[in-house]
Amino acid sequence: MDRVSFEKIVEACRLPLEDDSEKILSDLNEILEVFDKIDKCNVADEPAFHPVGIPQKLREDIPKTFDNVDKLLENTSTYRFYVVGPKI
Amino acid sequence: MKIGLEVHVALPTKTKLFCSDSTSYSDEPNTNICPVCMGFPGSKPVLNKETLILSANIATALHCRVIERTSFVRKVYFYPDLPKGYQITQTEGAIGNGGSVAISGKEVRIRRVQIEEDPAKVVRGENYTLLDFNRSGIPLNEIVTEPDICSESELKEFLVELRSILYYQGIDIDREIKTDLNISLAEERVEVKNITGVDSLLKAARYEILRQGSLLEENQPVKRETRAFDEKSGVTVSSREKETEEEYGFIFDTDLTFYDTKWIEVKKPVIPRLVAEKYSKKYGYDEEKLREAIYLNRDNMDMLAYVDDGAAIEKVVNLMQKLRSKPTKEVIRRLLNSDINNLSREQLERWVRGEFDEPEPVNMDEVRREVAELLRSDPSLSKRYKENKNTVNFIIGKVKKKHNVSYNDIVGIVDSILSDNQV
Amino acid sequence: MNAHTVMDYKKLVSVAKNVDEKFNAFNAINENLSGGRPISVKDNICVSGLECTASSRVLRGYIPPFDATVVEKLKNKGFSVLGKTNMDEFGFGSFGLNTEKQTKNPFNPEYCAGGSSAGSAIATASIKDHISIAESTGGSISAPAAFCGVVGFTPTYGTVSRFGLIDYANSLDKIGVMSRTSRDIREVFGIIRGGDERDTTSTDREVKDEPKRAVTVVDNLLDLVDGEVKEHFQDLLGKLMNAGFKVNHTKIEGIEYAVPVYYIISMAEASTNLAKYQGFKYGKGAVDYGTDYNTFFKRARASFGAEAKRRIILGTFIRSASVKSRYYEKALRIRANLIKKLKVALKSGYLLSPTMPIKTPRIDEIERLSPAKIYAMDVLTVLPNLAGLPHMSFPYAYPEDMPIGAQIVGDHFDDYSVMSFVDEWEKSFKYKFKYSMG
Repeated sequence: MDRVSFEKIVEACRLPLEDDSEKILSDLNEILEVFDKIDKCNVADEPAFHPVGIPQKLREDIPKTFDNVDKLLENTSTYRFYVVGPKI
Repeated sequence: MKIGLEVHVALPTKTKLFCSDSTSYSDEPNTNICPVCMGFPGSKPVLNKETLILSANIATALHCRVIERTSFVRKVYFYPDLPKGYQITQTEGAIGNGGSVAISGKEVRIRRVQIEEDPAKVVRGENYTLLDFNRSGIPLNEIVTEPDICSESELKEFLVELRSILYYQGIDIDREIKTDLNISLAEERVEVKNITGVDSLLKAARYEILRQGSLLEENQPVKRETRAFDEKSGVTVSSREKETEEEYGFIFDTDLTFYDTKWIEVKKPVIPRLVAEKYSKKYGYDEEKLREAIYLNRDNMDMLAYVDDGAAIEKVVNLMQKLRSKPTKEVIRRLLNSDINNLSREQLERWVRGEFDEPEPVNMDEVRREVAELLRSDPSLSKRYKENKNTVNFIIGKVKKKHNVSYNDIVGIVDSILSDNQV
Repeated sequence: MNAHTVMDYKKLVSVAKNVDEKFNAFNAINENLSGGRPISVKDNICVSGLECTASSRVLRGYIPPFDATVVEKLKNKGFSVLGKTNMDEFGFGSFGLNTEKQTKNPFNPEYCAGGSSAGSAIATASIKDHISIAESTGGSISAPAAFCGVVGFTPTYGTVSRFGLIDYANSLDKIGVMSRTSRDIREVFGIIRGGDERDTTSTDREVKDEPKRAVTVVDNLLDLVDGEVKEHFQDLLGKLMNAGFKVNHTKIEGIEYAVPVYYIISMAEASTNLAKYQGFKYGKGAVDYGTDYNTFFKRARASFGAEAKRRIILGTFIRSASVKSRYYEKALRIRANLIKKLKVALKSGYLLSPTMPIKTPRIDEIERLSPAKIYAMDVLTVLPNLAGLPHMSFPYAYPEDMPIGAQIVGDHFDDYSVMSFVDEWEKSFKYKFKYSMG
C-alpha cells in the first residue's frame, strides 16, 4: 500500500490521519506481506462464507413491538422524539 | 441521449425487512424502532419472508429471471441516516436479473431487481439533523434499468408502464418513489441522486437535457459528476461530493445466509399493456382508451371480464370512464343491456347503486321461448296449470331470475302458448 | 448449587474488585448483585442495564436496552451477572493488551493474561468455582485459558446464538465458556446452546457426545512450536498413550495460509462492523452536532485504539474492488479448502496441539513485537476457529509455576465429545490455581 492509497483509505474510513502515520503504514505493509503469501496458494473450492452450512431462516410478516424503546433512546440525544445527529 | 434509472419502491409489508417493527409511516417519530433498525451493537438481522415473495413476483412482472439462491451484501458508506454505517442490499445475488419493460417500439432492459433496506428519514437543521428511524429498515426494491431510455417521451412512457406494472403488484409508486437518474447527452454520465416522486424525476430529466444540451452547443464539456435536484427551484445542482466514486467495498453479509426461492409461488403477473393490446386486437377497440381505463384501476380491469363481443367492449370502456366505483355483477349485466351512452353521470351512478327508476325492459320474445321450453320439458306443467292457475307462480319463479316480468305477462304468454299448441 | 447469603454476595463483589485491582479483570462490576448463581460475562456481550463497551472508548456510556440471548437463558436458569470482563478492544488481540486497562496474569502480573477474553480467564483463574461467558473469533478463548491455566471451550459455529454479541467478524464469532472444570462447561453450554429466532446463523442441530480414543497430531503444525513447549507436549502425548489413546500423526498441506486467511476474512468483516460507531445514537462521544457529519464522525472515530484502526484500514483496503478477489475472495476459497482437509483429518479422532506456540510471555516482550509478529502467535488457534470446529484448551503442565495449555479439537457438532475428552483428562490430572478467592 502506498502513501497515497493509505491516505485515501484513512479518509474513506472516517479516521483521522495520526502523527505517527509513517509507522502505521509500515506496520500495515508488514501485515500485507503476510497476506500476500496466499498468492502462492491455488485452490478451486467454492468460497466458504460460513464454516458450516447455514440453512435459511425466515421471519413471518407479523408486527411485534420492541418493549424497551425508551431505554433505546436514552442512549441518544433526542429532540421532540427525533434522534439528533450531526449536520449534513 | 442515454438515460438509466435506479428506482426505489417500498414494499407493502406489515413489518420491516430485518426486524418485526411495524412499517407504519404515520406514527410519531421513533416509535416503530428496535435495536436492529437502529443499528445497535449486538443486534442481528432476520429476513422477512413476505419481502422475498413480493420481490420474486415483482421481478417476474418485470420479466426478470428469479435467482435460485438469493443473498445479501453490505454496502459501506457514511451518512447520518444510515445507522449501521452500511446498507444491507444485493448485488450478484439479487433476486431478479435480466428483465425488460416494453414501451412503444422497444424494450427497456431491466438489469436487476434487488432487495434492500431504507435508511432513516432525515430532517435537516441548520446545526444538526433530526432523524426518524421509523423509516429505517423499511423493505425496498431497487429496480435498475440499462441506459436504454433515449428521450424524454420514452422516459415518460417507461414510467407510465412501470407504474402500472407495480400497481398490479400492490405498489403505488406515486406515493413515494425515489430515483437516481443517470443521464448523458455526450460521453460523460451525470447522476442526479435521490429524486422524490415521478413529477420531480421528469422535471430533473428535462432540466438536465437542457443543461447538457446547451453546454454541448457552446462546445463546453459535460463533467462526469453527481448532482442533486432542488424541488423548489426545479434545477439540478452539483453535489459537493468528491469526484471519485465512493468505494463501497461490498462483502457478503454473514449475519445472513443464502435464501432459496424455489418454494415461492409466483403468480402470473398482470401486465396492463399486454391486456390492453389483447382486447384491442380481439375486438378492434382503441388501445389507448383501454390503457387509460385499466392502467391504474383494478376495478376496471375486473370489468373487462364481462366483455364477450365487440359491442360489449365499447360499453364496458364507456362505463369504466364514467364510473367512480365498480358496480355489482348483476348491475353490470343490466347496464350492458341499456343505452348507457346517453345517460348522465348522476343517473349512471344511481344505477350503479342499483336504483333504477324504471323496470328493466323485457325481451318478451326470449321470455316466450324460455316458457315454451319449460312447458315442453315438463308436460305435467300444462296439465297442472289448466287445473290451477296458481301454477303460474312456479313458472314465474323459473324465468324471473333472468327477466323482470310480471304475473300478468306470464299468464298471457302461457295462455297464448297453450292455445297455439291446441291449434 | 449452594445457597448464597446476603453476606456472600457482598463478599463476592469485593472479591471481584480485588481481582480487578490486581489484574484489571473487569470493565464493570455489578455492585447490586444480591441473588442467583454468579457468572461473569465478556464485555462484548450485552447485559441489559450494565454498561457495555467491548473495551472501546467509542462505546463508553452505552447501556444496552436488552440482554443477549445467552444472558437471558442464564438468567432464566438462576444465574446473575457479577461483572463484565475486560478484553482486547472488540476482540482485537491475543494477549489482553489492546485495552486501556492492560490485563495481567494471575500467576505473575508481569506476564500476559492472553486475549482477547482476558478478563474472563483472570476471573476464572482467581475466583473459586467461577464460570465466565467468553467469546472467540480466532482463538480468544483458547489463548487466555492456556496462559491463565483454566479450561476454555469454544463451540461449533452457530450452536450458541450471537444475538447480543457485539460483532467482530460475523462468520467467525462464537460465544463460549471458561471455567475450572469441564463439568461446569458442559452444564453451562447445555443452557446457552440452541437456535434463536433473533440470530439467522444459530442452529438447533443436535450436538453429539461420542468420545474418541484417538488423537491426531498435525506434524507440520507442531514444527511451528517453540522447543520447550514441544517437549512438554511430547510428555502429554506419552501420558495419553499410557492412558490407552492412540496417537496418529499427519501433515496438512496449506496450514501456513491459516493465519493470513483468518486475518483477511476477520478484518474485512470487522471493518464493516465498526462502521456503525459514529459518536451518536449510543456511546457518549462528541456532542457538537453543528460540525459537518464527516468531521463529526472522524472526531468520534479517533477514539478507536491503534489495533482497531489498523484493522479498519486494512479491512477496508482488502474489500476494495481492485484487490478484493486477490485477498478476500481467495481467502474464502482457501478457508473452504482447509475446512475440507481438517474434516478429513478428524475422521480418525480428535486433533491435538499445544494451544499457543510459546510459553506465557512477559508483557514487555509482547509490547516490543510488531503487529505481524503478534498475529503469527495465533497459528495454532486460528485453524479450528476458521473452520468453526468445537475446541477446548486445558492446562496440562506447570513449568516454572506457570500453566501451559493444550487444545483438543473435534468435528462440527461434536461439542460434547470434546468435553468428554477433557472430563477424562481431569480424572488423572489436577489443575493448579494460585488464587481461589471468595
